[in-house]
Amino acid sequence: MSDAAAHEFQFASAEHQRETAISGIWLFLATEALFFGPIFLSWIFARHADPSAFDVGGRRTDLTIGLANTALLIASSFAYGVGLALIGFGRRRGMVAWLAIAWALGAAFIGLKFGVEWRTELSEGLFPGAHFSIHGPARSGAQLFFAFYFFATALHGLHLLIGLGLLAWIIIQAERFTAENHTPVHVVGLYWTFIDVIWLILFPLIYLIGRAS
Amino acid sequence: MTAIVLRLVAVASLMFALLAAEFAATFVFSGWGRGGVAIIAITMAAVAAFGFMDLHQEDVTVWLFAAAAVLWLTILLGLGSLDPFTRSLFPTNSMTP
Repeated sequence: MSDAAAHEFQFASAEHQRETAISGIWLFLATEALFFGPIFLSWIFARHADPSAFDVGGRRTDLTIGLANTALLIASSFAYGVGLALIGFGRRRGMVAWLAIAWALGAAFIGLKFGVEWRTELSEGLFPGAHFSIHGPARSGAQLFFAFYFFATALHGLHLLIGLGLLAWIIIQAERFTAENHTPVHVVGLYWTFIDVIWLILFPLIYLIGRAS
Repeated sequence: MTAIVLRLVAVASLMFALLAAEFAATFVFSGWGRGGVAIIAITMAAVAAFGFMDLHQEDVTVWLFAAAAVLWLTILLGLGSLDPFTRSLFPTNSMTP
C-alpha cells in the first residue's frame, strides 16, 4: 500500500476504501457512546437517590485540575486538527510536530489526573470503603459519587492511554502518509476527539453540577 | 490551508467560550442552574463533533451511525431515568440494632 492511489483488493477504489474506514470508525464510536451511556445513567441514578449528599462528594473534587484538564483536551483536539490539515497538503513534518503537541497535551492530562489529582484524593481518604473520610449523613451519597468518579475517570483514562498509543503509532509511521493517502491519521483523529467529547460530558457531571445552585 | 487553521482556531475559541459559559452558569448566573450547565455541555459535544470531527462533511452512512448513537443514548438515558424519576419513595421505620 505504498502507492498513493493503491487500495486493497476488496475495495473498488482508494476513495471507497477511505469511506469504508471512516464509516467503520464512526460505527465504532457509536458503540463507544453506548459503552459510556450506562456510566452516565449510573450518575443519574446515584445522584437522584440523595442529591445533597451526592453533591457533597462533587464539591470535594479539585476544580482547578478539572478545568486545566478540560483546556488541555480542547487544545489537544485543536492541535490534532491542524496536524490532519497539514498532511492533507502533504506537509508531513508539520503534521508530526502538531501531532506531537497533541500527544504531549494528552500525556499532561494523564499526569495531572492520575499523578496529582487521584494521588491527592487517595491520600485524603476519598476512595469508597471503610476508610472513607467523609462522615455524617452525607457519607453514603458522597461514597456513591466517588465510586462513580473513580470508575468513570479510570475508564476515560484507559481510553486516553489507548489514544496516546495510537497517536504515537501515527507519529512513528509518519513516513507512510501522503496528501492522497492518510486515512489512518483521519481515523485516529476521530477517536482522539471522541475521547475529548466524553470528557466534555464527564467534566460538568464531576466538577460543576455539585457546585451549581 | 490558512482557512482550515482559522476555522479550527474559531472552533477552539468557541469551545473555550462555552467552557467559560459553563462556569458562569455554575457560579455567577445561578438562575441558569444545572439545566444550563447540561445544555452547554451537550452544545460543546456537538461543536466538537462538527468542528473537530467534521461530521458535516461526511456521507449519509456516517450520519446514520452518528444519529444511531444519539438515538441509542436517548433511549438508554430516557427510559433508564424513568424509573428513578417516577418512583415514589415512602419513608419506613427502620430498627437499628
